[in-house]
Formats: sequence, C-alpha cells, structure tokens
Amino acid sequence: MSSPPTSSPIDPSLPLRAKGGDRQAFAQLVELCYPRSLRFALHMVGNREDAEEAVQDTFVRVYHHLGRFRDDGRFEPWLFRILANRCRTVLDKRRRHAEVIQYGDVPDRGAPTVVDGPDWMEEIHKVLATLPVEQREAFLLRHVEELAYEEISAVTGVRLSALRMRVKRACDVLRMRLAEVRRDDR
Amino acid sequence: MTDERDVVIEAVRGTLRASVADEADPRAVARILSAAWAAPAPSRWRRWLDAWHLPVVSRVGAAVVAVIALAAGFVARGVLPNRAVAEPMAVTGEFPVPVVPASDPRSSAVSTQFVFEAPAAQSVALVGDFNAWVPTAAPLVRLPSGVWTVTVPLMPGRHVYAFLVDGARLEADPRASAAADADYGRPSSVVMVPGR
Amino acid sequence: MSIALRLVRSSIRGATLAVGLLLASPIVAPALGAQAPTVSPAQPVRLAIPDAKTRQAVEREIARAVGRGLPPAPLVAKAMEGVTKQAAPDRIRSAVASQAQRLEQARGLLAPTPSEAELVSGAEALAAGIPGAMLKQVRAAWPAQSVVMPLDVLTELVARGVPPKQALERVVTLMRRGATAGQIAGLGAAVQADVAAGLAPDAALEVRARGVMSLLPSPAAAAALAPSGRRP
Repeated sequence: MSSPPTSSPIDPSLPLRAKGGDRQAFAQLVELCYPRSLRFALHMVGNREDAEEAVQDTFVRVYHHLGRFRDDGRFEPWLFRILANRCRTVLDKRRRHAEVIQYGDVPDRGAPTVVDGPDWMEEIHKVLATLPVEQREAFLLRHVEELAYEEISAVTGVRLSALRMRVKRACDVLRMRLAEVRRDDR
Repeated sequence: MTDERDVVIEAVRGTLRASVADEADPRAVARILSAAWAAPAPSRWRRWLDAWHLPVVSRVGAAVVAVIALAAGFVARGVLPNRAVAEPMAVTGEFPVPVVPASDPRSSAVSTQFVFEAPAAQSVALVGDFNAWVPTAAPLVRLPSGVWTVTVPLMPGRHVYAFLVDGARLEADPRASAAADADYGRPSSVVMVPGR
Repeated sequence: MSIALRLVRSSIRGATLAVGLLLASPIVAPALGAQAPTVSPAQPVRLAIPDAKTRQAVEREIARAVGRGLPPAPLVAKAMEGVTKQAAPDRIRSAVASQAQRLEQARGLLAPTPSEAELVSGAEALAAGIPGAMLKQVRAAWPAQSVVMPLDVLTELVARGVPPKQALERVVTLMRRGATAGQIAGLGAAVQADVAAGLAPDAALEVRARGVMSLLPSPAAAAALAPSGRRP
C-alpha cells in the first residue's frame, strides 16, 4: 500500500493566494488536503459515497468562505472544522432517514466495507460506529489526523479538558472491544 | 493525562491512517474544482464585504441587472469601449453559468469531464456550443502530470467543442470524434451526452 | 426615408433585440459579459467583435432574425464561435446569416411549435447536409415529444459516414417502436465509438440498431400505442 497522507503543514501562502483569487493556488490546496480530508470523512461517516460528498461540499464551502479565513490563521483546523460539520450533517441526515423509514430491525448502516480486505478494518469500523459522534470525531482528529489538542479545540469549539476526556473514552472502548478481536486472531 | 496509546490503539491508528492513498484522485479534484467554480471566484468587492461580514448582493440579481443594461446598450447603440483586460485578481467567467448543475435533481444536465494533455501550456479553455464559445466560461485546471481537466454540466444531446490553448491556438480533442465545420472550416470535436 | 422614421425603425429594432436578449439572457449574459471584469451594473457591454463594421453588421443580422421571431442566443453563439476561431469579419457575418436561415427553415420543418433546442438541433442537422424532408419525418414520428435527441443522433450518424437514408430509416423506426430518447442517444454514442474503433459506419449502425430493437416491445404492441398506427 502507498504511504499514508502526511500531516506536514501546508505552505501558509497557498490559502492566502487562494483567498486573493488565485485559482491555481486553490487547486493545489485541494490536491494537498484531499487525501486527509477523505480519510477523516471516511472514518466518520463510514462509506465512501457519503464521504466523497462531504469532502466535495467542504471544499466548495471553503472556496466560498475564503474571505473569512484569517491571514494569520492555520488552514487545516479551519478546513477540518468545516469538514467535521459536513460529516455531522451527513450522519444526522442518515439517522433521520433511518428513523423515518424503519421500525424494528434497523440495518447496520454504520458498518461499511470501506476497504475490501482484512476483517480488522471492518471490526474497527464497527466499533467506531458505536461511539458517540463527538468521541469518534475527537479520536480521529487526535490519533489519525494528529492534530494538537489546541487545534482540535479550534475545530470543535470544545474545551481542552472535555476533549481529552472524549479521546480517552474512545480509546477505552476501542481497546476493550478490539483487544478481544486481536487475541482471537492470534 | 498520560498518552493513551498502546498496542491496540497503535494498531487501530496505523490501519486507519493507511486506509487512504497518498495521492488525490484527479477526477475527484476536478469535480471539486468545477463545483466550486460554478459560481465566480470572490471579487475584491466580495472579499471586502466578507471581511466586514456584510451580506452579498445575489449573483443572479447582478447578472439580470447587467443583462438589462446590456439590452439597453444595444438599443442606444452608443456603447462604451470595452473595459480593460481583467487584472490578475479579478474574476473571469463573471456571470453565473446558466445551466442548472447536474447535482440539482430538477435538472437533466449531465456532468461531463473533459481532459486535454498539454504540459507546456499556460492556459487551456473549453469552448463549445454549450458556452457560446466564450473562452472565459470554462477554464481547465492543470494537474501536476501536465494534464488539464474540467467538468461541466451538459444537456443531453450532441455538442461541438474544442480547446483554446494559451488564448490563441484552437485544438480539437484527440480523444474524440471530429466535427466538420460548415461555417468556419475549423474542425472541432463532438461529444454525445446521454440522457439520464 | 425621413430621419425620424429611420430613428423610429431603428429604435423598434433595437427594442425588439433588447427584449429578445432579455429573454435569452441566461445564454447571452455569459456570452457577452464574460470578457469584462467586475462590471458595475450601469455600464453596458458590447458584442466582443473587434472590427466595428462587422460588429454592427452582426448586430443588424441578429436584430433582423429576432424581428422574424427567431431566438438570438444561437446567433450570438455563432458569432462568438467565429471570434474564437479567429474567422475573417465577412465570414462571421455570413455564418450568422446562414445560421439564421437554417433556424428559420428548421422552424417550418419542425412545426407547429418547436422549442429553441429543437430549432438549434434542426439547424445543425441542415448544416450537416441532412435534407429538410427528413426533419419533417422525424417530427412526424414524435409529434408531441422533443425531437432534440433523434435529430442530434441523426446528425452524428451522418457525420460518421452513415448514408442519410439509412440513418433516418433506423432512427425513425426506433422512435415509432417506442425507444426512449436515452436509448436513441445510446445508439448514437455506440456507433460513434464503433466507427472510431474502425468499424464501417453502416455496419455499426445495423448492429447497434438491432441491439436497441431487441429491448423494445413487439411491433404489434408498439402499433397499439402509436397514435398514427403506422407499421414500422
């Protein structure tokens, strides 16, 4: 498998040039940020189609709101804030749809086959799907996208202490449910 | 608080991080750029408004007013000279594209991607019967590989088009069938867009 | 003719054009406005033809066409096509005139009330050398439904080298047998691809038409549905 998307910082001049109307700069921003954005969305919403839609929607919003991006701000937290909101919207829509049309057995929409491969990924996704949205989001931002807690606070608007608690709880659940799976595999 | 990572979390982290390839899918990027550029890029005026968080005049409204003025201009026959060429930061394709985007369920327009290889070019534009052959309506975006691309919504049917390279050289699409040109004798290309 | 009368006639023509342009504004606005940066609404923009004489001649041509009830947008597009293709001024003027003529001809052939899209597709078919009588037959096959797709496919088949009579026969047969616009479009795209891959155009059409035909209801069932009851 190719190397994972890196978390190296975006050249700060790119968002500024894009803000100034430079389309090439915006195109470069999209190219650089797309893989990480897709990865986050994929693990938040659980299927590729919804994830791609959320990511596309996010970049269109980024483009239209570049005027509000502070010149001294960091781009990724700003991007992730919009993306996280889009993902939550997708999840809300899905939940409402499920509530409207289903009674009794609700098919497990949160269990995707994102990667046709080892059951391990499926298991991870199953567990992620059981986490409350805010815990899943905090875990992914911290441990997968490797944002600092201060940046996650900027993304979510939540206090640092509450964030650490969310991440800790997510880790506890993942550890508990997946340790068994790993033991079984050995 | 101690670092929560341990063997299980590390394994989860590793798997999730590796789940997406490093390189962006160019088609996805092209779709995003087309969607974002379906409305004009922010003008200086808009950016000034944004900075003050003031509401922005509807783009459709502005276009309608401009067209009314345009019609009045024809009546008067006293047109003013063309404005100066756009500054680097000003907008091209100023007015909203008239076709309703394919993402709108009411529309029968189909998102159609065009691709053109021109690593040495500075600019490539898609011109055709669907955008009145106006060079600023559908600029292509250059990907790092030197391939240019744009995705536009097209109504089902037959469309004739070409690529305008560096604002001067009109080229047919080597990947498409040729269209004869009874009026101007400059061959272009044909795309048949299926109905939905 | 007195100056006053000339002015009045000029104003009427201009006003008619203005109305026509307003109606066609979704197409005209990007065509004529796109060259200008942040336009302040009060300032008009002109047709982007550098040569003044040509521009005026084209404006007159368009105004005349609008006066005859033709849509201005396809004519503006034809003019802009010439500009982008760097055609000589005279060529642009005569291309616009030819397009106006074809639109008018198509209007008669696709009567009683063809849409603008049908007019444009009809004009393209005529430009490709398809005889007017064939447009009438296409219309007759689908009197109440848009014939944009059958006309476009007919144009494309002929452009690929299919003899016009054979192309018309196949397309009209499919229309009468109940094929959808989408199926007819699929036929056109498939033949286009086959010819590009090296197949003979007429052979490609036969194969693909047979394929679409196999998906359609039997002639008896189609005849029961068709208003004219004409056998294919």
